[in-house]
Parts: sequence; C-alpha cells; structure tokens
Amino acid sequence: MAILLTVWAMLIVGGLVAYIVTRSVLLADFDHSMIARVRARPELKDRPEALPRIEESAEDRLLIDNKVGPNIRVPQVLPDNDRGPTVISRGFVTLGGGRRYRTLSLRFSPAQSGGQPALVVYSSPTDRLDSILNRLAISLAGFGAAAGLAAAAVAVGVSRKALRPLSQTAQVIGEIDDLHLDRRIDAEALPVELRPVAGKLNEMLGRIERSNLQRKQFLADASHELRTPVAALVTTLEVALRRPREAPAYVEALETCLSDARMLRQLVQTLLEHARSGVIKEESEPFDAAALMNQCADVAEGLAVPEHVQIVRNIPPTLPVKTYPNRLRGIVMNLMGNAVEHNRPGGTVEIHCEAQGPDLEVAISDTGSGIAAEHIPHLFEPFYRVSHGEDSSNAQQHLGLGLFLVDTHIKSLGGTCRIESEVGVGTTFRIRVPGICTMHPTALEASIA
Amino acid sequence: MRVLVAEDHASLARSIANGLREEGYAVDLTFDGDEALRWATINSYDCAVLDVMLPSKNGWTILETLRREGNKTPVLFLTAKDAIEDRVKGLNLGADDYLVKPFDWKELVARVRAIIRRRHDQPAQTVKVADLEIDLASKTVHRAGNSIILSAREYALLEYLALRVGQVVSRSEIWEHLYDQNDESVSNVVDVYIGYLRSKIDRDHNPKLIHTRRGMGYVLSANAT
Repeated sequence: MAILLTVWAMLIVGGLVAYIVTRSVLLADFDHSMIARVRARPELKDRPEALPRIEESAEDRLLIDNKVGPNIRVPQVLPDNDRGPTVISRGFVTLGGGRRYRTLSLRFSPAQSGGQPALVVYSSPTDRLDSILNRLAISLAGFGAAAGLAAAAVAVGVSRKALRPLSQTAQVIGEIDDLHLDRRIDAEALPVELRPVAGKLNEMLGRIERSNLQRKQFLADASHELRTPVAALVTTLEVALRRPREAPAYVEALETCLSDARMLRQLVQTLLEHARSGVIKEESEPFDAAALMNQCADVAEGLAVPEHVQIVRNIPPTLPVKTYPNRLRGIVMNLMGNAVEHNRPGGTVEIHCEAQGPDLEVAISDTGSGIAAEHIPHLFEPFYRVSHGEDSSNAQQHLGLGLFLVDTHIKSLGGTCRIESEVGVGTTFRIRVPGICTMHPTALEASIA
Repeated sequence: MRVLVAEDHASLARSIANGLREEGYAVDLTFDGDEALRWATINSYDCAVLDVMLPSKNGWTILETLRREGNKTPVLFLTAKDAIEDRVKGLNLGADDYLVKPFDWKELVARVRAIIRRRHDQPAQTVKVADLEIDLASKTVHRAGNSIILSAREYALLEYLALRVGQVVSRSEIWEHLYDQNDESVSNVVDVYIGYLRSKIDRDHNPKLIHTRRGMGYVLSANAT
C-alpha cells in the first residue's frame, strides 16, 4: 500500500517537474527566437526615423519605444552590439480577440556612447507553444491519473486480499451458535497483527464450549434421572389401579408413590438451585463465620444423635468474614449431613474452621468408611454415586447431587475443596474460600448490627 | 411363565414385579447386575426385563455375556436413555425389545407377552386344542363355547402347556417356568395344579385334553396317545 502510494506520488511529482522544465525550455527557446526576430527587424536598422510606431503585422506585434515616451526619437544609430538587448520583463498578455501573446520588453543599449537606449516591446502570439504545452499537460495529467487509478486498483486488490481472511473470520464467527461451538478461527490465515486476537477468541470459544458441554451433559443426566422416578410413580399407580384392592394395599402403593414423589421434588429443587446459582447475584456481606459454623453444628447434632454420632467442634470464638452466608451454609450443611450419614455408630464428625491468610478454611471430617481413591476425582460430578450398598431403598434417596451442589457453591464463592480420605478410617473435606475480614471486631459487630 | 426383573430403582422394580405377578407370571426380582446375570444363567426364564443402567454390571454386558454363552433368554430392556444410538446398540446386541422410561404399564405387559409367544413359536393370539380356546391376550379360556374361570396359577399352567401344545412338558420344566425363587418348593405342587386344571377343563368334557405321560410329564393335546 505505502509503496504504491509512494510510486504514484513520485510519478505525479515527476510529471510536474517534466512539465515545468519542458515549459521553461520551450519558453526560453521562444523568447530567444523572438529576440532574434526583433534584431532582424529592418526598421530597427534602416528606418529609425519611422519610429515610434506600432506595427501589427500578420502575426507579431512590435512596439518600439524609448523610455521617455512614444514620441521621443530613438537614436539614429541603432544599437547593434553583440551583447544583444537586455530583457527587462517578460510575460503573457491577452490582446484584443482573446489571443494570448508572449510579450518581451527589451532594452537595446546605445551603439555609441551618448546615444539613447531603445526600448522595444515585442509581442508574439503563443498559440503553437500553448497548444504544445497543453498537450503535454493533458498527456501528463492523463498519465498521472491512469497511474493513480492503477495504483488504487492494485491497492484495493491488495487490501481485499489482505482482508479476505478477516471476512472469512467474520463468517466463521457469524456461524457460531450453541450448536456449533466447536468451530475455531484459523489464526494462521490472519495477518500477524490479528493472530493474538484470534488466539484469545479461540480460547474464549473453548471455555464457552466446555461450560456448554457440561451444562448439556448435566441437563441430559438430569432428564435421565427424572425418567426413572417418574416411571416408578406411573407404574406403581397403574399396577395399583388395575384391580380392586384392600385398603392396606392402596396405602402401600401411596407410600411408595410418596417416596418417589419426594425424590422427584428433591431432584427438581436441586436443579433449580443449580440453575439459580449461576444467575442470581447476591451481595456478599460481613458476618461471623464462627457463629454460622456453630449453627450448622447444632443442626447436624440433631441428625447425629439418633445415629449415635458425636459432633466435635473446633471453632474459634469469632471469625469475621465477608462472603455469601447462604452458600457457605449450604456447603457446610451438606457436607456435615453426609459426614453424619456415612458414619458408623459411635463415630465422630469434626468441624474445624480457622483463618488461613486471606482465606477461610473449613474442614469437615468423619470416621466413616472412607472413599476409594478411584471415586474421588468424580465425586463432584452430577449424579455420581459411589455405591448403592446393600439397602437399595436407601440408595434411592441419594441422587448424587449433594456434592455437585457443594462444588457449585464453592466455585461461586471463588473457593477450592480438597478431599482427603482413607478407606476404613474416614474422610475430610477441606474447603477454602476467600473473604477473611481484616475489619476491627467492633467495627464488624457494628456493621452486622 | 417365569420372568426375571432387574431394576435398581427399588420402588419401580417392586411395582413391575408385583404387576407381572398379578398378570400370572412367576417373577424373580433383583436390584443388581451381577445377580441378574447369575440368575439368568442358572434359571430358565421366558423373558428378562433388564434396566440398562444396573449397579455392578449394566444390562448390555449381561445381554452380551448371555448371548456369548449361547443363552437365548429373550431380553426386554428398560432404559432412561432414549438416544437412537442406545436403542440400536441394545438391539444389535440381540435384545428382543426396548422400552423407554417412563412407559405405559399395558405396553410393558403386552411386550412381555409378545416376547414370550415368540419364544415359544406361538405367533397367534389364541391357542385352540379341540374345542378348548385359550386367548393369550385377554387371558380367557373357553371350552365348547363356555367360559372357564381359572386362578392366576391355573391359567399360567394352562398357558404354558398351551404354548407347547403337543409337546411333553416335564414337572421340573413346569416348576422352572411357573414358580419364582420365593415359592415354597413343595414336591407335588405341579401335580396338585394339574388336578385343579383337569377338574375345570376336562371333567365335564370330552375328549380329555390334559394327559399324563408317566415318568415324563404332561402334555396338552387333542389326542390321547
């Protein structure tokens, strides 16, 4: 592009220079021949007495004058030295009829000392010169314009070619929707300057594709999980209604239906909670994490006593944080509920919380049967169930969504979770979420109040 | 007819088993894949209703294993997956039918019945032996135009004999196909039910249709020999 523009500009400048040079050469030549003609005029030599007069010959106009005025006689002896006349001025005049003349004012020095210098104004029509110069100008201008057009055409072509990958990229981007998130921009085809942008766009597409796939998988799993309890509900009712029965048989059928309906309710609630976790923006707020942990431990104790499980609290008197209390409560309650349920009679569930630099660390440990290492990476996947155990009816109550929700909440708090488990010994879920308050306790209390 | 039901969702499994028992089938019920395969290998089922996603061994693996061992027990898959590929996979493995949850109870029963008919090469809905007519779909029995009321067990026995009409069926086969694992093993229970059937079908009619082949078993046939 730049090269093309430079070439074109050089062509234009070169044309102008050529024109100016040609013009000045032609004019100089023209002037020279005019002077020669003046010097050849017979009246300047032979009949000086006839001066002054204006002669209008077929072509040239000649005005011979002296510097005093038209009526002053010119010297007898005409200047005829080799030096020739001095050109006083030169220019163009347009005389009657609109014809352009080259006009030279010439000063002839006196031939003898004491003589008067003669002033000659000589005009000669410039039609031919003008037409030559015009043709030159037109052809130069034409050439310049043609060169300009050619340059422009080449430039457009070049820039189109340069922009084609961009338009292809635009097309690719335009074709991407939630069904075609696997498409990527071809960075190699783009100009070097745009490749990092393409790379970042591709990375973004990758992230969107992954989260979309996860969402789709979750949706597929969820609808899959909905089918079985619905089938159970419908089949139980259909079978129950196929013939008249005694009241206890109906009661049994209804109780079976109720358990499936509860399972469906739990599934639907979880789905809604998950859907909401990504959408609803709660405000984080300052609160005392120690108080919240104690509340959770109180609730867990209610669950633990009938199972003969003891809750051990390792909670500081106060632990100010600024985060989302509802989500934190959801995480801790879920994990404590699991810890109680998967425990052994006489076992313990320990809740431990402390500040770790800017993070709140909560560890919930049980003395249950532990989780085999191969299951741990999958625990947070939706609908992942470790084992059905012997009691299948109990297994129904576990949809494999509890830890999935825990993970959803932890991620929404910007935290992490580590699982330490030893089969036969127990499991610890260690959670870290940012949000330890550096606020002075009294200020915190004031803000909570 | 004896049916194996393997489904890990307990309430669904129990409802299917109860419903099928009320339809006159002997039903063995399990919630586990390994157990389903073991039972299908040991026992002789007229149909297996298998959930695809079973704990410890999925329905596809069970079917594959059975077919590899030359076991031709007809299999009806129940599944929550309704993707085309899943159906194709099941049928390619040699499944006899496929039902997507949630299903209609009548449809399940109709398909189980159709599978059992096919299993015994009995394409017609009704079996006729002399003037005895057994409608397999409505489970009604007529002799000489008169309706005969049978209990579920009696009907099941008659149906089994009818599906193998003309063939001698041993007591142990009858036991295998009509009684599930929970039935008390009483040595003469088959003979007792044959007696009930004879009194309802043959006592007031001629020719006699239920014949004893001493040392071999029973046969339902218009011919005494």
